[in-house]
Amino acid sequence: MTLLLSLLLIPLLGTALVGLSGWVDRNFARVATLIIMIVDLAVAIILMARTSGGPVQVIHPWIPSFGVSFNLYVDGLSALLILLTTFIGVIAVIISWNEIKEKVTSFHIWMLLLQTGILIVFMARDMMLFYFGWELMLVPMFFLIGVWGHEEKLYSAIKFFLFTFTGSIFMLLALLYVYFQHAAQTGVLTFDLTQLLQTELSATAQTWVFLGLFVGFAVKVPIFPLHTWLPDAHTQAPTAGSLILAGLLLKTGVYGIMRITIPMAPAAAVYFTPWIIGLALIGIFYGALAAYPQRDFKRLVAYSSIAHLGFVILGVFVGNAAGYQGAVLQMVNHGLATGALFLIGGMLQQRTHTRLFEMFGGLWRQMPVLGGFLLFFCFASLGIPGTGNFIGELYVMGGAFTYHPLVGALTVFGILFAAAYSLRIFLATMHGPETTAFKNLPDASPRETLALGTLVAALVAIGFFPNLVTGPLYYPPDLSVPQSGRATTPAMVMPVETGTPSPVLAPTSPPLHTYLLPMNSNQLSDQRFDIASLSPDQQEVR
Amino acid sequence: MGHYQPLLPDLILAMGATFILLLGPLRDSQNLRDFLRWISLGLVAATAATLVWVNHGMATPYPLVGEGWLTTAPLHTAFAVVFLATIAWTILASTVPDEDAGEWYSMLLFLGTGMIILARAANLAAVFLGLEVLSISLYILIAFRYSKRSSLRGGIMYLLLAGFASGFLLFGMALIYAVFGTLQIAEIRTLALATDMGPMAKVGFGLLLVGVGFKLAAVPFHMWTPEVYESSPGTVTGLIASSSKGAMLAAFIPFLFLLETHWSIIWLFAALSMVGGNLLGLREIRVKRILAYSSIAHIGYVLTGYLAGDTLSANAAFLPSITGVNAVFFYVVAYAASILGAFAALGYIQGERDLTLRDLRGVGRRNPVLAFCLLIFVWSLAGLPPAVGFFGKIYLFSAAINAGYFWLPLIGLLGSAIGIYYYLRIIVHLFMMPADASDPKVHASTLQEWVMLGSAVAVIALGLFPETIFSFLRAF
Amino acid sequence: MGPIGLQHYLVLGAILFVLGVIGIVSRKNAVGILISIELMLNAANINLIAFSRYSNKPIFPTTMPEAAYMDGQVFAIFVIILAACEAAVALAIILNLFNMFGTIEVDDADTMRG
Repeated sequence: MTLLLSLLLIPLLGTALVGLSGWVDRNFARVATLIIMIVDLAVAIILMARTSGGPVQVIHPWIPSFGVSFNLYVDGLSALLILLTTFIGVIAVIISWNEIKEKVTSFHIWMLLLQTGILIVFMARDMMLFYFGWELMLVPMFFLIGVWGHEEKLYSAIKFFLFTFTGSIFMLLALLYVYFQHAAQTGVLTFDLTQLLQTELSATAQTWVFLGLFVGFAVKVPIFPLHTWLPDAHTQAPTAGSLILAGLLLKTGVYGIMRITIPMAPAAAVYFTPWIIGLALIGIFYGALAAYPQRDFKRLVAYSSIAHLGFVILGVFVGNAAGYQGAVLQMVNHGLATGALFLIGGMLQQRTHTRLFEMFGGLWRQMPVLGGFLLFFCFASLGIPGTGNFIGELYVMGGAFTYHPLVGALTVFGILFAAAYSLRIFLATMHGPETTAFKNLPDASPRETLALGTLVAALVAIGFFPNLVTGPLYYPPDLSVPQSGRATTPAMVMPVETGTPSPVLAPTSPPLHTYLLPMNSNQLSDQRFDIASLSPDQQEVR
Repeated sequence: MGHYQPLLPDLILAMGATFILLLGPLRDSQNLRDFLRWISLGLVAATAATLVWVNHGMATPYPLVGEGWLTTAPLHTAFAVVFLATIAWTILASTVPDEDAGEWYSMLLFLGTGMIILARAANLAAVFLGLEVLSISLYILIAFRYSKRSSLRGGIMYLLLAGFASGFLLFGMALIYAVFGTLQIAEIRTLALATDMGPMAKVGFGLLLVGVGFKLAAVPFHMWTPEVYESSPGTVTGLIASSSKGAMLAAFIPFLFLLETHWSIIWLFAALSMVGGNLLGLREIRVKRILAYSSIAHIGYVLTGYLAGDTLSANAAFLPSITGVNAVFFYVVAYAASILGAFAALGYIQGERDLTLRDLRGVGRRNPVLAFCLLIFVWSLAGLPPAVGFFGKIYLFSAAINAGYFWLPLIGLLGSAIGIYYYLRIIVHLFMMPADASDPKVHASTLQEWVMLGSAVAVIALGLFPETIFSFLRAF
Repeated sequence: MGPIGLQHYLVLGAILFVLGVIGIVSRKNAVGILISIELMLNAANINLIAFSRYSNKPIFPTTMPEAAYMDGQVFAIFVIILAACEAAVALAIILNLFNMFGTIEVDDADTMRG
């Protein structure tokens, strides 16, 4: 299927085009990149529509002697994240139009390479290809932070790199272990995830495989004790870098946990669930508490990311449909809302050359449009009704209540905390005594308005039609769940509503309340992990 | 001729080298230098062609030719061709001192002779012969700029330590000869596997391993590396790090049976090298020394693959297609492609006295092509996709896991995570630091830039299509 | 004691080898170290020739018995030639070192010694 290949090849071969055009004139590089990104977005939209008929797959032999194939597979979840990737890619180019003034060509080349890596991660069904893409993301991001970042860019870039790379080592070892186990059991050399999932792993092996994979992905998410690279990287990156970090790179970690970790070691996932939920809760509270007193705009938003991702992980691991849907919703919403906050932070910094709250204050008078946008995104971040975040948090909360009332109750406090730091962002910049330091700051330019406006539209759309996001999750039969012989995996229990696939981007979604129904019905409690259904050796883990 | 025919490649190369040495005194003109370069290149190509032609249709495992002197096993022939390619690359990429073009090219060809003998040795005496021809040419190449102090120091240091190592190696060989009564490696293998090794044989092999450890610069014997690497001309350093070690590795593949008795020593070499090399590199600021320490770590990775060995004969084999030996071959190719370019690029950049990280600042702006190439090479050394080093490392560690090792790959991967730091430092100084007041001096001719660019592209291409290297191996 | 036999050559070889190692570790003079290296190589040579002479039949039967017991002596000749080459190169470098530094003491103790 050429669609999948072209999705990858457009940004990859685009690097050459951008290199050539940048050699002629630096502005050409910008334009070329923007065109490439938009074309890629168009392809992603077509792909999204195409996947409504079922997953799309393309397999080419790549390294036959090692069992590696160029195996791309896109179902609803992948298509959704691919759409998000290409969308944010376009915004990232628009937003760096004026910000990036040095080494313009190489900046855009790195952006395109980064996009290629992210797309590989979201599309790869072959685990070696996945790892290839995973590592491919590192160097471009390292350059984006290290060359175009702010004051402590080198420290942050190196820290980001070392954390992610070290985590990925454990992931690689776990993948290789499963690969060899599978080869030993079946005699087939393959890195195809669908086949690797058939591997019989003993309880001990599952535990180690789970831990290895989980650590690899948890660094990227980041889950609480492994998060320390994040505030530095997000704060120091250029605006486009922060946007991509928050909007996409963190999602790759969650995606890995949903797609690979849990299906690969379901029994171990069940065993570790309480611990991970604990970590997610710590993340929610730690992120919120650490965010509130920050003096640095972007740093506050960065810490809030930890809290938001705590919600996502919580949703993934509570193990019911509501939680799962909520997690996916929150992934998308967080990408849009937090990304937008980073954009505004970047815009403020570009105008005032500072990110410190004490330098701001009363800016509303000078820039009402930007202030309005900031107000909206702060509200989105705290999850008011009408934005996608509200739906997402509601779903996660519902899932958490189903999992355990205490967890659900704690989640509510998490949302309260979110209100505190989100409002602080707005109050400290736009309200209060007008600062005398800055006069005549320009308001949002048309370009900026366009970028922020699309994000607003997207968030509102999801807020009113969450089926846009949750719908695609239903229709492709997920290959990662083997039909027989294995326990149901926590992340994959979602098809509560068994309905006909709803066509994407055609919001014929049912009234909102049907989405809230599962939380109150008894259906979901049946979807909790049923230990009895696990095979005997998997039960031993418990 | 008869069964001396397989010695033809070695003869062509050695005689050609002598011929070029004789042409050397007709010095003084640029034309002669170019002429010698292309002649040398032609000789290398002819040798490689003969090598392939001679071995065609003789691909039985370890047949002995030329009175049991060399082997025509496909793997070893493939190794020899790769080493010839590195020599050809060096002929193109090296900056030749004006006066001594003949001697320079001649020594490179002798180096190649030593490598292809060593890589295909089937006999302990051939191992020693190949090793000494290789080493002696290297002494001269290292000390080639004899008007520079550091060059001479490096030369004498490498000479004395390599001589020391040769002493161990040779004494070990003598003891092995005493026990088994033969110098043929294949026969020694059969005898060693058939009987229990006595203490004398074990000591003999132990001394042999010490000698090899020195040559490979595995960790307890690594001390000479930074000094020698620092003081050699850039391209020669690349050869020391890549193909001269690679030839040693190729020569010791027939000794895989040692894993039965001496595996713990090799295990220790590997683990210590991977940890030690990476840790030692962290605080270094002289670039060539950083890569020297990294090369120690890389030898650790390769030894990991060597331990996995020929999985067909070693323990716990899941799969036949990922043998340690194949992985070692892949890695030697991958590493050679990257490190040759990296050291050559560093050779073109002039530092104050020793090339430090500071001297790299601004190279990215001054000479973007060279900086880009260096970035690709370092990228590959760090083992990141899409460069070829990524799959090199994955193959090695896969082979090790396949053979039932777990801790060694873990140590290796953790070591490489530590090592990432100094590679990043190189990149940071190349691209992310403001240049000092004085511009860095970069001397690279157009030909050299093209050669660098070509090999950078090759590093990426091999990384995207790693199967090529195995296809190449299967072609023999 | 008895007549001179294989053991005597073995012991002589071992002593020479150890002397060579001690010489390399303890000497600073480049030529001294070179001589010590030669000592090590020749210790191995003595062993090779002695084994070749005294075991006119290999300890284990091999496929090429008539070649096997000449092997050691041929090897020894190789070693002698190669050692001569090495010495030539070494002396050339040392000569240049002397011209430049005025000394052939190898002073950098940590890196110069094995």
